[in-house]
Amino acid sequence: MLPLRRILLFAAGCGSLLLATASPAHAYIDPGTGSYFFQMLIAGFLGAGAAIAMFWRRIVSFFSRSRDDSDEQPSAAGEQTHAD
Amino acid sequence: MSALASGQRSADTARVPGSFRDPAGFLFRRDGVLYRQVDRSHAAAYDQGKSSGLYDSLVGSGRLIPHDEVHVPGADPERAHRVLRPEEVAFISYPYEWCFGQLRDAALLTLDVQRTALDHGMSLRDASAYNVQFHRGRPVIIDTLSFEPIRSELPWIAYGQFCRHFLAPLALMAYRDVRLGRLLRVHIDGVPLELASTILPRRARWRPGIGLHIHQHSKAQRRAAARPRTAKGGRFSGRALVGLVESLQRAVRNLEWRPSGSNWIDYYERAASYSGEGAEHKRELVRGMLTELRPATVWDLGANVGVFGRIAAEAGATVVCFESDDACVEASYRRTKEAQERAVLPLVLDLANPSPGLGWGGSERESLTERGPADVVLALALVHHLAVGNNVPLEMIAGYLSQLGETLLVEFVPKDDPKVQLLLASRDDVFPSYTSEGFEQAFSSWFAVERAERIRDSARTLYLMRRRPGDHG
Repeated sequence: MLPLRRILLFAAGCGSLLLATASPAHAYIDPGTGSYFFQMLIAGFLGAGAAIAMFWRRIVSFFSRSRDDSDEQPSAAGEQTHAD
Repeated sequence: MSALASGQRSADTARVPGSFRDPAGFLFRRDGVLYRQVDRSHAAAYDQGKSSGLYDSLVGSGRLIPHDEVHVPGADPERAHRVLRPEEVAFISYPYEWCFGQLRDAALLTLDVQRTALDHGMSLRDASAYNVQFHRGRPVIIDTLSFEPIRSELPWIAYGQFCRHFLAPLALMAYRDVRLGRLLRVHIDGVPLELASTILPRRARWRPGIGLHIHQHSKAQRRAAARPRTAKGGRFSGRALVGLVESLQRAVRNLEWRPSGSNWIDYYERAASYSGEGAEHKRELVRGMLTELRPATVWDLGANVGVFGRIAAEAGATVVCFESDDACVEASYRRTKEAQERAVLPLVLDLANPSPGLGWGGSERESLTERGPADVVLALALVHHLAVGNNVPLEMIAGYLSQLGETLLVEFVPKDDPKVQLLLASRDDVFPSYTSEGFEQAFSSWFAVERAERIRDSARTLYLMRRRPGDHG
């Protein structure tokens, strides 16, 4: 291979190595920090989801009470809802 | 409180090796009894757990391990607020030994407990899978000190850990391959979200719970690492805490795995290793031997779906069924739930590569041998897999089994048996000493043979052996 091509290939190789290692300079920050900020980001969305879920449960249990044979338990612990 | 009466540290007091990270307290043993010291730093939280009714609610519903407050000195009395004596779990198992269903139930329990905690003004400080144990057939939280008062306006501190310990491995098992559960052995604090993101198939990120709590969550973690900031703006309402739990509950519930395509799951029906009469005779023999022995603890090695382990449970033993095929363990676990069995714990384990000691110093999580020995070990239709299938010399198999239990029920499957022939079909027969004489001789170094019974209609022999006294690890 001509010296010039060899040099260019070497430079390209070094360049791609640099790109590959250009990831978090502060990677020792534990993932907890990211989880914290992520939750703040989606707080509104989650809160709305919970409000809708509670509202939906009230509607469902209201209609269930009007039927005698309902075995629906309005439990707070995780029912399937439509909001996500 | 007189819990602090004596400042003496008894020579028989030893901290449990894996219990050191928690500033709120730690486990220790004294004279063989397990205690949990509650440090003064956690006093307010512990007292609130009681006064709020949270502990009563969780213990009453079988979701938290019960404990008594005892008036004994702590292992570190200057720091002690209370000393608790928790009920002991019969066999400690780890998340990397659980089948899909067990991990999923442990995840749902954690979220359910968090939801109840929120109702009582408290919240889980951590959501580690190691806080869950299977006790009398059901998952329970064993870390009584894991609760703290809700931190006003702040998000859930355990969210990241929950996603790593539970959501990521479950998603990997459901969407990629069930064997990815073993990744928890390598990643002792849960599967990193970025790793899970990479491995999961594209279709997984379109599932709302997964896309949000794994992929987006992971991206946010990487962004935070690249551009660190300390300002903590905004507020995280109580409703958002509830919404978070409910969102995670939906995400976990939507993850399912049905065992299919396993070579082992319908083995007993398909394989015809025994005639009807032979199978019945083997069951009779095992039942008879166990009824005579009346062991307290039994380990069923290579348990498949746990047929013989359950015979041991009927004879009054507490049983652990070890099996390397996930589908079999899943089926066995489902059965423990359907039949409400309290004495059987099925676990995933490859006997040729059993759980080693892990974590800090290699002693945070105990190896299999450290959690034994059992009174009786069942090694039925197993040894030929190790000796022929895995090339382990019979003497070494015997030596290892003698570490695991005092009494051994072991089945010898001779070379001309169709199953061994199958193993030899793809191997050279380099097993000249794999004969019944060779077998008996190899095992006699470690065990005294008490009984040998030929199984009817078969060339297989069932042995009852007792470990010889001497140097046993």
